[in-house]
Amino acid sequence: MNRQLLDNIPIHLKEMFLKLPPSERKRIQEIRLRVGKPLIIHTANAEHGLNHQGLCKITESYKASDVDLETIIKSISGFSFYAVDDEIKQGYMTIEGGHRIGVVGKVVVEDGKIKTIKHISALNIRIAHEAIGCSQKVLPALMIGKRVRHTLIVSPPKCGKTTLLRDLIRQLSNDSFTVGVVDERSEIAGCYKGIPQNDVGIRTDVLDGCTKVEGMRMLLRAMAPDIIAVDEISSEKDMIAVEEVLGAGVTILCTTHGLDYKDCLKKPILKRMIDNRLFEKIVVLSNKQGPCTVEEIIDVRNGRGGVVL
Amino acid sequence: MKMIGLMMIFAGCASCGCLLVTQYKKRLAEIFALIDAFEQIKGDIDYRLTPLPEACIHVSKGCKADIGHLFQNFGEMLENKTSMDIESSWQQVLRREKYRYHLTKSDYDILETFGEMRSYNDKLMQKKELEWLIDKLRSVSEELQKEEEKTQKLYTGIGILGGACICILLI
Repeated sequence: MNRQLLDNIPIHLKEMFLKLPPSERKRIQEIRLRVGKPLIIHTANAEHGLNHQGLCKITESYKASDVDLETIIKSISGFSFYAVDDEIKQGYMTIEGGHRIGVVGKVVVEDGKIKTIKHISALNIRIAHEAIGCSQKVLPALMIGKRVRHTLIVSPPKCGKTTLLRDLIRQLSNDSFTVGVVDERSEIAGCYKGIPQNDVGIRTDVLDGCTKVEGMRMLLRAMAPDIIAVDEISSEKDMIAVEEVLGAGVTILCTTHGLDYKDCLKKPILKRMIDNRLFEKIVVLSNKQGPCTVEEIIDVRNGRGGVVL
Repeated sequence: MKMIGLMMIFAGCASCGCLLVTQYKKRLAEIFALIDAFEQIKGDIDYRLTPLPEACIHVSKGCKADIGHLFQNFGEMLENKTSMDIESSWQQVLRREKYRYHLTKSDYDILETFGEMRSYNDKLMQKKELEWLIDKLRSVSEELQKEEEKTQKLYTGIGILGGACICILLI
């Protein structure tokens, strides 16, 4: 848990977090705040409460108020709700450092479309973790000569998809590849005022906050990348954009939600992408030994799979 | 000796008149600079969806008539989260920076409404509030411009005449 995040929470909460030893703060993965309910901290494999004495039982934890939540929203939006309006409509905001704040409350709908969320009742603060070097073992399996294979990273939430993607980008970019990143949710590079806050390498160009489809096209046209990296592909439009990327001879690195390879085949769009051989390798992650645990690396074009690491 | 004294009184009164004219001109320049700044903030919000603190800091760099200090300090205050309340932050900055400017109480009353912008406003509401503020400042500037020539003559005249009257009385 770093300065950017602490600066955005009310002072009394900040004091509680600062009482925790830095090693404890580093382990925090999620902070859940619900109005009138105890604050819950998630680490890799446990839940804790938090009060002025430090970590505690959930029943003894500090109960968040609506003012706490309002203050956090005010602060992360820079006192300007309009600036995060589009993100709010999608139910989350991303702050400096790539931390994602999930938002729920009363959804205001107009003409069948979400206009905004008011009376915010709960926040889920997901803390982004950089794991420098986590792709070290995976990378050799994704290379073929001097080329990187088209790769899809698959995992359920909180298993380190984005973390692995970020580290792959960093390594490849530092090696010699020009990498274009479409960071729709500002989670990969964690840009603040357009400048990546996470280490994404020296040859990486980031389109921050841009939709994936438009972003991939813009990068192809403008930045002549060797590799394009995007997070969480799922729609038909994404598929078309990926096809365009491959058609231009550029390597694609992307992630998607899924339990495993079989789960991917249950999703029609993803199945089509796999059947059409858009990817050469699929990396399946789990949380068994902590985030970024590699379960399998599947060679899609040869139809071979197996536990590699 | 008496003549020198009288001349000094006369010159002093005349310069008082000129000083008032200068203040009037500076006030007008500051109102123009404020209008420019708020127009830029409006543009930044409307076109680039820039958050308020960033827009203020951005605008402060190109402001005329020393007005930049207001926006620089306000923007930094919000960005550093020194206070979580826009209204009190803006009032605090106005109070702190008042000494630099030649604005009147009624000008400050208008300016204070900038701090009443709500953080949960959407783009349209934010724009409307800024437009209202700009309109108010514009009408003040028009009034001042209309009266400019007349007021200049009046202040200069009062200075000179006042000086002359005192001299005559002393003689």
